[in-house]
Amino acid sequence: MKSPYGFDIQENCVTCPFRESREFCNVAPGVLQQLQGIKFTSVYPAGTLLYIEGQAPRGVFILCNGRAKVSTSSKQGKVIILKVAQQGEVLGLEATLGNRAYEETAELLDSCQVNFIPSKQLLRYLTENSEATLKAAAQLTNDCRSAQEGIRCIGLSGTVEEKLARLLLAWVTNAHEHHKDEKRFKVPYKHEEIAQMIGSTRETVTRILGALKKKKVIEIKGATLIVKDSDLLKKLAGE
Amino acid sequence: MVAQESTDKKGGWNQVVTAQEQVFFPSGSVLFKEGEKAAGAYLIVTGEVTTSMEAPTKGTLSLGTVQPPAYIALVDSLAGDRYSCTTRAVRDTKGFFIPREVLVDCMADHEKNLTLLQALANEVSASYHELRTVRDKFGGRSVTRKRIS
Repeated sequence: MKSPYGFDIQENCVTCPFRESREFCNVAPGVLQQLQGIKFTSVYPAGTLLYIEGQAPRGVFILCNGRAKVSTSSKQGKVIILKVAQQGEVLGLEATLGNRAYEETAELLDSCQVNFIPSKQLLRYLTENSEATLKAAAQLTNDCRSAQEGIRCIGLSGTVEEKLARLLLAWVTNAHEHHKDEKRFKVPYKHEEIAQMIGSTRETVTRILGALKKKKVIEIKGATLIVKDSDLLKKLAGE
Repeated sequence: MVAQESTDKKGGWNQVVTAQEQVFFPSGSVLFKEGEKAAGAYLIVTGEVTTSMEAPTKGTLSLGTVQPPAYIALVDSLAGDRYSCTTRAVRDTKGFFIPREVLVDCMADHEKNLTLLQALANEVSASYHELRTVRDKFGGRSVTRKRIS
């Protein structure tokens, strides 16, 4: 079935053509049949908040396609972007399993199909299927790693320039987009959001990006970031 | 990283540590160091430990104190990774060492897997708390959202 947002809605997990590439859904057919029986499919436009920090947990959300920004805020109200969740990731797992309020806010960056599983059904599904338990454990491990990377980035990096250089390097390394000797990455984030990823301010990020352009370390064409001098960028990142 | 356990889950974590090796760490001793291969997790039953991360250029970052009962290093051990922080006893501390193989077996056990998953979820929650604390201590000044909880 076609959605109004230009993608096909996958109503049935068992026949979903993408399930093998989605970590949480890549389980044995019998287990998948059980998952199909407990999930509710919805389609949301970009900008939708799936849940907000402090809300009582209702269950988990499987991101079938698109991306979601997962953020939390400190006691002083500073926003920290924990990660940009990709298709196949499960959101709200930590709060649902721990039966405590959601600790993050999940906002869709694209129009997405989302499968929701209520808490009670999820707990039964996980208890009965060890394969699903391992998938959930893998998701929690990734969530913990994201937080640890954030702690290292904010607490153990020297300067904001170093943090930003590390972030840019991580992006271009993961993007695998190369043109001749240049590394490219399409940046879907505003300066404000980049600042929230590295624990800085929008003004500082704008200033440092300008300085990196001036030094010809990077070039920005529209939303595309091009690394012109990766050796210098690595040096700035302390590598 | 640490997963604080509430006392009402005592029955749950007792299931996981049955017949595991009891350990004792005198005050000041190191349970494990950041970067060592994660051979297993610890369940702290009495005493007190602190966790910290290190960077060659910026020294040591103290993450906080752990009050028992609490699991330590579940994520690192289950992932078959290296310990992501250094943990040190600040008082005489007793607990259990749970080897990685036992943890993996528990994940396949219908009676124990949910207990472990909940402990993992607690460890994630503790990491979020540490991240928020570090952000307030070291990050920039931008304030864009009022915290709800």
